[in-house]
Amino acid sequence: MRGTVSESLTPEIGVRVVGPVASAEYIAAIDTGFNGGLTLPAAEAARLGLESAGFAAAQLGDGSVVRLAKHVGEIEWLGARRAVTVMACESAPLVGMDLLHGSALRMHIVVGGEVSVERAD
Amino acid sequence: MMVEAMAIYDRSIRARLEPTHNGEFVVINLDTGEYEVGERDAEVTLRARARFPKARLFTHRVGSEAAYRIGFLPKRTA
Repeated sequence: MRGTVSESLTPEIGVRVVGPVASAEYIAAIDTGFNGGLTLPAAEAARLGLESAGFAAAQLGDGSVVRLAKHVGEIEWLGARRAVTVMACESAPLVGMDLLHGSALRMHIVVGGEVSVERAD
Repeated sequence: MMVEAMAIYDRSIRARLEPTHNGEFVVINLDTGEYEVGERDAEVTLRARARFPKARLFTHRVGSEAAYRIGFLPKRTA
């Protein structure tokens, strides 16, 4: 999978999320500080019809702990469709380390630099 | 509900899972205290949803303060 480093030096990659009601493509930031799967705004999780999986706590950069709604859906990832957990979070979509697990992430950290995610097995 | 969820974890689950399963995801049925545990969030969550289809579910990460961190890294203690 290929992406690009943005003007704000954020590594971004396109992902397609599949829900029971709808599918959509997003430009997600790869966030190595996030140890979950994927985040989407709550309105997007609802629009796709993602099924609820209860809730969980997330610890933020200032040390505070917040409660987030959790969903499950599917994502097209490294050439296959797989299950993904989606936390409802009002940031731009984030790809986290649990989704990246088992892959190799490379990035050329300049504006417009290439980002690649490949299988590492 | 977070307080209730962590109380269930502390009372019935923590001693069984820590430290052997530290870092793994545990998805808890808040109505019965039963749970599923494993390394990959999606797999554990799907197993829990299949086993407890109508339950209120809470996800925690064994041995951590919260299931997820977004932009936060706990300081090393040793």
